[in-house]
Amino acid sequence: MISIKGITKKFDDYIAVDHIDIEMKEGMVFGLIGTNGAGKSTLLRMICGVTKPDEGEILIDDMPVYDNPKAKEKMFFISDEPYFFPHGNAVDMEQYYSMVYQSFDKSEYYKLLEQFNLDSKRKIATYSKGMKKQLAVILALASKTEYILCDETFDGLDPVMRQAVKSLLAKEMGSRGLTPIIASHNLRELEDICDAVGLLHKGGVILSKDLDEMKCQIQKVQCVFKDESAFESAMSTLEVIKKEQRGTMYTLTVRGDREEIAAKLTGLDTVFCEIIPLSLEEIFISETEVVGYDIKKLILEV
Amino acid sequence: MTSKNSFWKYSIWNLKKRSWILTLSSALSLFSLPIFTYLSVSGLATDYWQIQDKTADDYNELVYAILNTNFYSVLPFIIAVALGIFMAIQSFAWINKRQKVDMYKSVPVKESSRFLYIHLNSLFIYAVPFALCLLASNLIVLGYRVYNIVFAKASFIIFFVCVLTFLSVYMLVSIAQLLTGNMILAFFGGLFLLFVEPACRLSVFMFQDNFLNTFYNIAGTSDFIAKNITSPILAGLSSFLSFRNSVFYSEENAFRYYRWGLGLISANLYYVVLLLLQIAIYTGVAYWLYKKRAAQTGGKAIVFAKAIPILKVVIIFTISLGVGVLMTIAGNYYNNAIMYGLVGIILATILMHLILGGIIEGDFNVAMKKAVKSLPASLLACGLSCFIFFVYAFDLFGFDTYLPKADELAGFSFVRPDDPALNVVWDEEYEGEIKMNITDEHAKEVLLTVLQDAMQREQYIDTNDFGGETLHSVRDEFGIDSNLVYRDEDRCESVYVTYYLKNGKTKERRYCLLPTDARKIYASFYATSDYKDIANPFNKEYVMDMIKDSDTEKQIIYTSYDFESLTQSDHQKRFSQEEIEALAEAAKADINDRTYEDLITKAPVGMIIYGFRNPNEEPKQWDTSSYTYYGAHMVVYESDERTVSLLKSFGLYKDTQIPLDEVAKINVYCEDTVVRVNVSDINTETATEVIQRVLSIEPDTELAEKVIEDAFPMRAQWNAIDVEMMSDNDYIVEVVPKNGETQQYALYTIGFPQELKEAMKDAKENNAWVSRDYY
Repeated sequence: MISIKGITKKFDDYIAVDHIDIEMKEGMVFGLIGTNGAGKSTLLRMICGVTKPDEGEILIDDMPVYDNPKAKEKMFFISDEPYFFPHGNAVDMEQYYSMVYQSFDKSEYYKLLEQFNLDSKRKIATYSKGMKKQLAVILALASKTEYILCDETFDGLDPVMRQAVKSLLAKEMGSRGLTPIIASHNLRELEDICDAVGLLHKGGVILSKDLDEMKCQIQKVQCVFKDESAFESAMSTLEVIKKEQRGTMYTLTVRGDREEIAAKLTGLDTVFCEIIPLSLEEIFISETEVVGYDIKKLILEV
Repeated sequence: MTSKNSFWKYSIWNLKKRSWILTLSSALSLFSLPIFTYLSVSGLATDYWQIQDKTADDYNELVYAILNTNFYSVLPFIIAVALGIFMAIQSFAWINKRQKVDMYKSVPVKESSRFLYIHLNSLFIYAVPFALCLLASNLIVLGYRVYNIVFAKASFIIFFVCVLTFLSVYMLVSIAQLLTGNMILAFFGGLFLLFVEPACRLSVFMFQDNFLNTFYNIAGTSDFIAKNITSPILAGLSSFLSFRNSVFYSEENAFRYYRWGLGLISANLYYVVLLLLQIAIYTGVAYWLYKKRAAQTGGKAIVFAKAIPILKVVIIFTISLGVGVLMTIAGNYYNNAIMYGLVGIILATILMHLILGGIIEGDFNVAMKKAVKSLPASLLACGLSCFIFFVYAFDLFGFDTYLPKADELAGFSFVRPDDPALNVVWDEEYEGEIKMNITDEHAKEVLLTVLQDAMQREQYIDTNDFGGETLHSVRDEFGIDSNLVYRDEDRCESVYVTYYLKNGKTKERRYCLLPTDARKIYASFYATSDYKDIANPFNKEYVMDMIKDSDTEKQIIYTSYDFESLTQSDHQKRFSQEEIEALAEAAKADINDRTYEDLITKAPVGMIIYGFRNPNEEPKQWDTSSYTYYGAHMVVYESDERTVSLLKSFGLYKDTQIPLDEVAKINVYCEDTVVRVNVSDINTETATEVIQRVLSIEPDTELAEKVIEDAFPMRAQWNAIDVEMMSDNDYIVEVVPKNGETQQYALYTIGFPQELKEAMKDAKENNAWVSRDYY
């Protein structure tokens, strides 16, 4: 398990990460989502020991991470722009990583290279962006670490490769309990694979829950009220975090589980009422609106 | 990386990645040593083997040449510095790239291990090829069958010094690399760190030299700079030169007194310890910075925000001092050194404040907006520079007027420029410095009293901007055709005084005293044993040993003074060993017994030149130029009874009194200045004209008798002991014989007759001189 307690990181006067508490259980896919500049990459770098937090602690299986090779042996970090040796090829990279990771599986590595149609002797500088990402993923998988931290890894992969990577991750999870931690803006992609999600905004955590639990606790309600008083009653009864109106139709984003909300709606004067589960993207937008990250505000201000 | 095996695996991997630098290092070492050695030794050895009757001297010369051009060549040292700078920049270049930092810092490698193997590999990359190339050079020399064990010793020394220098330079530049966020700034920052202290010291030295009238540095600028603490280049160069000089500047040492490398190291321990300390401190600082440095700081000018004000202060302080020095020197030409210097400091501060701001912010527009906010550090630097400047410009701490208290003074030295009785005499046999140190209480009292009095009269410094002429330099102008005669008594006499204080410290001052003041001081210690031990070369044991050593070939020349010529006379003789020893013993006793009055009241009658031939040289013709090892010029006075007695017994002594009845006229020349003022409608011009006057004396006067009695011809006596500072005034007295061609020749009197002084004064006042144009 990765335990993050009270983590803070500042760059000069800018607070990149502000007192974050998150737990990432092993054996689950953890998705790290957030607005631009929320601190996702900074958090990932602190988890893998690249950056030292100013406050708080990060423990991996109860071991502090920073400058601790034993803890770092358990994880592999795929940066958003992975570095490869200039004039080097896949073989050179294998030599390096097999040296630093005791658990590196060379046969698995070359097998994956073949599966992905990557030439091991070809200079990496001639690879496309997507091919480089593929190579980075292959290196991560071949290292046989317990945790893989992916910073926007799926971006740049074509849909087929994305599926291939997802299935590989799933296979590794099943076979040896791999725990991927994936930071991405592609919420649709994450929704398919993540078991838990952490939502960051301006360095802080808005949400950190199991995805199912998160979806259960927020619903979209579309309804038409008989009259104004019914609407007002609904607003006071329900925990509405967002409302939109088109004509007489209200679309409300409400906190609470489905049954609870349904029960409350029964007591209200509604002409029409339907409860719809939110997608991860909709949850993201709603939750960030609550904290002021409102697209309508941005458009109006611009 | 959790095991030692992993450490070595990683080290080897890192070495492979840096193989191109290993190649570069090898190539540089190869060219600087074995290839260079081959090119030079092939010629030298070939020439040697072609010599028909080789002697030990020929071999020694060959060994000397090989040492000089190869093993003690400065090229390996330069390569050590260059590689140190280059490899420091290269070793941590990855730290400025985000992608590289992500990769290297996310893998399971301990940071301390990474730091260690990077630096160990850097040392390996430099030292191993260098060592192999040194070995190759030795083998090449061996191949030419001219090998000497001294080459192995020299190899050890040069390897030791160069490795220490490399490490120190490397670590210091690594600090610059870790402080900055890009390679270009790291490079310039490294250069700055390498030279900041010597630059500041040199600037301060230049201020001292420019503003302080009594300042001088006996060791000279190069030694002054060599005593720096932080710069590994100068510490390394000083140690290299110190080792080199220990071997070379006494040629015998290279072959007879050369000790094993460890012995040489202990003799130059200061520099070795300095370099080791630098390495330790710089490594510690570099490691601390490496650990503290945040991961994603590449691209920033200065990585540590808290270091910015400190660096600004240091940089602006250094540069403003330097510019201040340059402007001060320029200002001297306009007699406005202080204003120029101050303007230089302020301008440099403003410029550097803006430039550094632009570099740090990466944007000059942003820097201009933040110019006021970031002002305090620049103002502090400017304030420090100005303070240093004012200290010397206005002598705030009373440097020029310093005089120790009587109870503080343990001893002193008092020498004139080029005085053979120098402040420091190098004793080659005993390899130590013999310093003049007058401890006589009466002498100390006279010194302090005279100097205090001179300071009160403000007649103790040279007020001539371009340096005042001294009597010594005037004497240099004397010669057969010299027309220069009279020098005003108000000219100053340069003296160097070193105060040895009871607390162990020394203070050095240069004064420009009236000749009368200087002579009072000289008179107070001349007869003391402290002075005689220094000034009398025959008091030194090793000199007498050389004289008594019959194997050491010596040449003694006696020159007497007569009116016919001022060149060496025919009075030369090859003295036997017994005669030489007798003369030396006599000189030793006579000089010890000599009083100050003997010097200033009596004219010398001749000069003995003692020379010892370099035992490594073949005998050459009998002239002093072949005596390169040791030489002393000893004037002989009439009061040197033992020496005069010996000279008479050798038939060399000649009475040089001039018979008055053979003299037609005596002319005394003097120099006078006339100020002419031309007034026109436009301006008033003042011109100073130097003219020469002649006072003629008839031979049948009492004055002529007095002059003839006291005047003796003498040629300029460079390096003659006991002659400096003895003269009263310098005059040219020309004796025109009744028969024969009038010849002008330079001679001066010592203890000039008072009657002549008065006659000349009267003649001047009455305008009774016979004038003629000066040129």
